[in-house]
Amino acid sequence: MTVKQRPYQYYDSTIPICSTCLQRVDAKIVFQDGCVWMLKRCPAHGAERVLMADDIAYYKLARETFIKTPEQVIAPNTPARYGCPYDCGICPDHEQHGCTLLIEVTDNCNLRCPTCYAGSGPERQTHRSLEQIERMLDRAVANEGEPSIIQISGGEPTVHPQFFEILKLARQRPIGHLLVNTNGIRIANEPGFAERLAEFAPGLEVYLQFDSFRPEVLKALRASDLRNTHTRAIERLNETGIHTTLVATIRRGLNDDEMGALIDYATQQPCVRGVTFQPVQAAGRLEGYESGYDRNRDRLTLTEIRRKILEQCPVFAPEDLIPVPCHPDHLAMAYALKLDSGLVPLTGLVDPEFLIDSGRATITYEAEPAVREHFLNLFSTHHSVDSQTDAMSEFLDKLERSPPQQLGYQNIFRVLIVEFIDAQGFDLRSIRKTCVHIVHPDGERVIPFDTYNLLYRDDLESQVLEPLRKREFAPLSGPISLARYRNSGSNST
Amino acid sequence: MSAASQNLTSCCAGLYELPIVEYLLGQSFHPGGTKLTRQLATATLISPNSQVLDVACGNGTSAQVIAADFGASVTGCDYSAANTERATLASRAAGLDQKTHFIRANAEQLPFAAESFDIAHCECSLCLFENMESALQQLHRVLKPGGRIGISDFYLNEPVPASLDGLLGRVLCVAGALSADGYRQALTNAAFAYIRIRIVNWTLADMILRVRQRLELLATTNALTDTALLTDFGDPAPVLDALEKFIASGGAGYLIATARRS
Repeated sequence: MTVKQRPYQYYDSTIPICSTCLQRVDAKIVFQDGCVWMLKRCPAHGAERVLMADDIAYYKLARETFIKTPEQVIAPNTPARYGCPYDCGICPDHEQHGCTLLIEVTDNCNLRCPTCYAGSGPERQTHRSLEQIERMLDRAVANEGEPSIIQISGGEPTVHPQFFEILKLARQRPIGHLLVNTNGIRIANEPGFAERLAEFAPGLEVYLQFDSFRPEVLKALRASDLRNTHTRAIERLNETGIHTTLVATIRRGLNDDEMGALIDYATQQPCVRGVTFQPVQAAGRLEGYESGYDRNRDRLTLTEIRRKILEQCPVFAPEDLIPVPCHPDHLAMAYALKLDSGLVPLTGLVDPEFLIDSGRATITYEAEPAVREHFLNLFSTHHSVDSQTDAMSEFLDKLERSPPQQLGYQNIFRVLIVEFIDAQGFDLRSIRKTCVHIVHPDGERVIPFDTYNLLYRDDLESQVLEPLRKREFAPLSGPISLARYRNSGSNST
Repeated sequence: MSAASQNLTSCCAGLYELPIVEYLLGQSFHPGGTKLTRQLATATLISPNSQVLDVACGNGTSAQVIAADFGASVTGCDYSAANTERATLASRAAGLDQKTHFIRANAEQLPFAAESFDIAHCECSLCLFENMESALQQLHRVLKPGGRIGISDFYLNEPVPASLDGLLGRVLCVAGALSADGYRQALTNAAFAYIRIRIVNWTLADMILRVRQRLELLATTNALTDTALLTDFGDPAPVLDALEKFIASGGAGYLIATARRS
């Protein structure tokens, strides 16, 4: 008699939310056909099968190896009452402090991008007052003590009439690094703007929206051909020497073939310290998709982006682009030295290529506690790139290998992948580790970026979250493993 | 290459079919076993969409691992018909016959169209080929542009000491290995780029330990009836000692190399 077998490898169970009603339900994590899937079932809306990763080995590496004791906020702001994710604020059950805190100073924007998690645009006129922004900054300081990174965001923060006053207010507080999250229009177009920004450096970095070199892509994502804006903004930033990170929103089938070109371009710009890639989070405004955003067709996961970067940018090997321990399954990072001759990946240095040269016995860096500690130190996102120089030098010294030249800030280059969690891929285990947080405009709460965009932004809290808090649980409708699934993910078979 | 190396190829291929070898070395003959296969597949970026060629696939264990754990489609080829037959049967039994395909082929004359594969693996076998150069050229030919090659093999930085020049040494195929730099050069010569070499000597430590344990078990249980076979090997213990010492001194070791077809 043959024994009946599952068509998958069972790995874990977790708590997801239903993509339709956002109710907490029940789920299994399984491995099948080389991919990681979440099988979930909502009593009201049926079963779903969601692609979590197309790389089982990397998924397991992130979950099982890159483990770090959670660092906490000074004090939580909201009680644990309705259960995660309905208590955000930070609640006492969150497992990571905010490595990066966003302060959204306006809802207004000089673009109306078809893809915008914040739903910003020219029609929205609300600029937050300086008093309110001070309360938000004070909340960040109260939660974090000395916040490592505060990102001034929006809307488009530079259109705030008191933008530079906001930077001054931030500067009066014990904040490590200020990032300005901008589309670059004012930097590109307004004479003297970059110079005024540069007065806040060092310690101020520009987080520049830069998705593509192709007009049709820019029109699809931004409703505007921003190529000239990009060129002029980068010119100004190069002239003024303001440290800049390019931020690319990646949409499946649109610009996921341009990541290698973006990295190449970034390495040629003196001001650019790295590129951050973010797959579109299914939240806020999602326009310009053929027959609407389709979660079965359009979602893109971190491992897919990672694989495409490695395919398009052959200088990086897989061991160079590894999980970040703060939130390992949703952040991946590669460090490289940016030299005239090109990029020299550093993350994989501990791997044996180095050992061949030195003829030492084999180690893997995971097995070497000292090296591992240095890596963890290097790989917490609350090091802004400025403070990474020391960690990097230390790390190189540890490997008894001198840097190829006087190693300075200008030589450090970082590739980061940030996959924000949406309703499809929501996994309670993982959401508790999120470390990019948004300070609520009420100045009382700090909410994970991921859940803020799903449940807390603007009217979502009263319209979507409140009914969820009051809802009674419906009875289960049957076993998860035998349900008929609505597929979600491009690799569905 | 010389007549001696040709002998080595046929003698090695023959040895791999002996039950005693499978007993001593386990299901997956190469050092590191399926664990190293997974490491190599990770290094060559195998994905569910990949078309993979496994050259000298043996009994198909690696192909099965790549199909099952990475979701890829794998074509395995081997010089030995007995091996490809076993591989086909084992894959069918594991329910992987949709994703795996095995054929008898010589690595130096691969029967595939140009640019057929995304990834080619050559595990613990490159140093066995009569003409490594033409094997690498063949792999280059059948890979798509941007395709990736993954090699695992012994490296030999110093001449093999006399104490290792026995049959067991040859089974472990130390004799035909290049130096670490030699592999880099061979890949460069075959127009591969972005070469990465990774030392994985843990695989040898594991393997030697396992062989020792099994030999010990054989000795204590008298399970080995074909004593003539054991005589062929000579006394394996001193050979293992010498091998360990040689590896520790940096004379030899095990590596994986990856590169990209330009």
